[in-house]
Amino acid sequence: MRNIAAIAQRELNAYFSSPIGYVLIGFFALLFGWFFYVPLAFFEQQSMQSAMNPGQAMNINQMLVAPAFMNTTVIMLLVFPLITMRTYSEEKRSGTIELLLTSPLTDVEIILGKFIGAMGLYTAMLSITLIHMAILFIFGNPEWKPIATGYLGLLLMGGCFLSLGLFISSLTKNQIVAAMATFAVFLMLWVLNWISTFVGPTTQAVLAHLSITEHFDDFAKGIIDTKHVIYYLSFIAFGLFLTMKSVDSERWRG
Amino acid sequence: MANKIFGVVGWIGTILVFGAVAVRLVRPEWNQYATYMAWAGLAAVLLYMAGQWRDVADFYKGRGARYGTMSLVSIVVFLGILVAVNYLSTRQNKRWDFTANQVYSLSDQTIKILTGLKEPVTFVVFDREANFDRFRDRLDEFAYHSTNVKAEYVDPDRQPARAKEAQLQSYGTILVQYQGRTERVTSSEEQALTNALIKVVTGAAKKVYFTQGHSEKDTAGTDRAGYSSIGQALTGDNYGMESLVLVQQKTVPADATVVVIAGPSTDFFPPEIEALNAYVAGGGKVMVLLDPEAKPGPSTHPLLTQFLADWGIMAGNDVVLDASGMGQMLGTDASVPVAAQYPPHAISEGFRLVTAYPMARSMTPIEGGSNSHTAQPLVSTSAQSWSEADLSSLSGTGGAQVAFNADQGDKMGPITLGAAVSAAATAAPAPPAANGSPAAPDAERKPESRVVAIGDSDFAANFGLGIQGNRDFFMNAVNWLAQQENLIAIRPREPEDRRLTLTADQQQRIMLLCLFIIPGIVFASGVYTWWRRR
Repeated sequence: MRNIAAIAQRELNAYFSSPIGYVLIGFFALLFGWFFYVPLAFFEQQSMQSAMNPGQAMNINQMLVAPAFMNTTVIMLLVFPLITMRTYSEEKRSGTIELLLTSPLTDVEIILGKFIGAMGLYTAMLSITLIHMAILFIFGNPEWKPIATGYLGLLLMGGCFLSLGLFISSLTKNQIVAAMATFAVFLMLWVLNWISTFVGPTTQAVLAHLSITEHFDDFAKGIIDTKHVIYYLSFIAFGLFLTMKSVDSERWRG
Repeated sequence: MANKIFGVVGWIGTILVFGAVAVRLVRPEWNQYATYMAWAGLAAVLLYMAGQWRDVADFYKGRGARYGTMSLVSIVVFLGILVAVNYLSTRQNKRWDFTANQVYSLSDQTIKILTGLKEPVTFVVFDREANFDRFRDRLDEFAYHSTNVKAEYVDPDRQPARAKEAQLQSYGTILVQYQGRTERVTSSEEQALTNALIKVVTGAAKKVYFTQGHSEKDTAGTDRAGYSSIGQALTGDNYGMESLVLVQQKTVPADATVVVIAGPSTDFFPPEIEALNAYVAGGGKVMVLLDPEAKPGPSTHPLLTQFLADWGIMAGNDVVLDASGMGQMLGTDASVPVAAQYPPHAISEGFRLVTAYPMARSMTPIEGGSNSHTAQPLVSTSAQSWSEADLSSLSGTGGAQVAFNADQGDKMGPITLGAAVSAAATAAPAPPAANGSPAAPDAERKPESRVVAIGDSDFAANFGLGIQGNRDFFMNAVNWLAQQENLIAIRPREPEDRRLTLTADQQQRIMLLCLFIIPGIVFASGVYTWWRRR
């Protein structure tokens, strides 16, 4: 456990001792700010208009927070390949992978450490958005529970992307290749449910279940469903398992 | 040589497998061919591998191959476990709704009905693909509470055959199917879906009674003026049909969903009108199709016209003629007024078909209503039509030569040919039939009386149904009369009203904060770190 924490610490330090962590968080904050402010202005305008004819409920959670969360997943698609691309590729390129492989740490500890490190960076990103939520609480009266479930969903969904990105990074020593491949795979998983309408009902159900975004919907609305939680957790487990196999193959492939 | 052949076989196999996948994705209707292709491709690939057994064996002598295979097997096993867990998790899931008003949860009544389901219910949604999510949210909730709920989504533009089979009229229609019975709904609201579910599960008979004894149209009649076609349409929509001789039965049976009076040539007797009045007052539904008077002179249906007048509908003593020439396109003359536009009403919502009414009288809502019943117009003819008040001119020389004479009381079009009225029932409803739904009684129930009157009965006869719009219009009217009676009332759950009020100044500051200050601080601390480390 201590080893995992040490690796995670080392990863986080790597992000924040160079500008890369700040650049990632900065752009994330900018994009989220945009995705937050535009619906906010629109919602404000709608509230003003509906004040004339009451009856239609204007719910800030449904009309502003949930869409903002949904849009955050788009940012993930763009930003996450940049987080994970260096995790293994960098070590491979600089040769430090040899040190890691020969160190007394087990593969599982290293992988979990790297994963938790990346999650740490992601959590730092998300915590920026707490400022935006605070704005809503200052000027309005949103429900906090759906916001909490939304954050839980974002963390779980981010975990999927990060574990998958970790695996792809472990396959190559070229960071650009890692980033591009990660982006491509994310995008595929993202749009999986789009093609689900062309196929039969069973395939449709399976594809919809595989699509990452399909599961986030309920979290954004304020619902926790065990099937979504289990899907995300098993996705993360599978991504980490693949990474483990990939790192392991490093030894016998020579 | 053999190697070459095997190589070709291998490639063919690969192409077949990829082709099968492509066919499956692009042309689902060719699925059977895709399956054959996939098997053939697999066989070819296996054949190729068998041909290369020496290479394969050599490959497995290497250390990497053995480790690789082990890795692969472990990955497949792990994946298998995850798939199993996920499969179970979709069947045995638990949900918690954290919204303040439980916006995404179903009402207790609905849950009670869903958990009581014994056999599978299928909800078939017909709508454009983009709208599926609206239904999916709700139907997923339904499916959560019962494993017997299945949902299917059909885009009528992509699968026109299925839409045609379902006799689909508008987007957003849901068919609820249970034990061969079907109910249709055109709303994704919980109340509508639950009521349809109750109706289809209890199989509460929807009975349409056709009155007899005044030479009304015959529902079994296959001749030109018979009603057999419309009878088939009703049966197809799960309506049971019965004939009703009011003189004998004295009252309208309690299980009557709709009573149709289709073109009587003589008037009703006073006791019959009394029975009819009692029925409608208790939340009954009546459709009156009244043809123009055969002879000039006083009305031959004084009591029926009085009945309509009580419901705010005036049956005009006239014949509507149409000189617009639209009828000629349908092969008819001026005595068949044609309607292509319909005043706004639930019956004709989204209805864009032409309907035609051979020998029709005007049927107009009485201005200001009567008995506090205000009717609404249903059908209006073109502006080139008029209502001919001089009936004697028609019987003599034939319809083609009559002309519009304002001085003789003719009225210029558009003329209203049909009207509908609904009002809250004033009397207690008749006790429900013995097989009444078990789920309904505890819920509040508001019976409503409804009357539809159309100044023609021939439009729904076998010869009039050649115009497609006529059948649909008749069915729409019957469905409106029959289906709106909700078994339970569920108030839709509205999200709580939580809004935001900002001054323009505050809004501007938030924009600055979101787009400049927060990202700026982050970037600045990045620069600071970088600078300090240098």
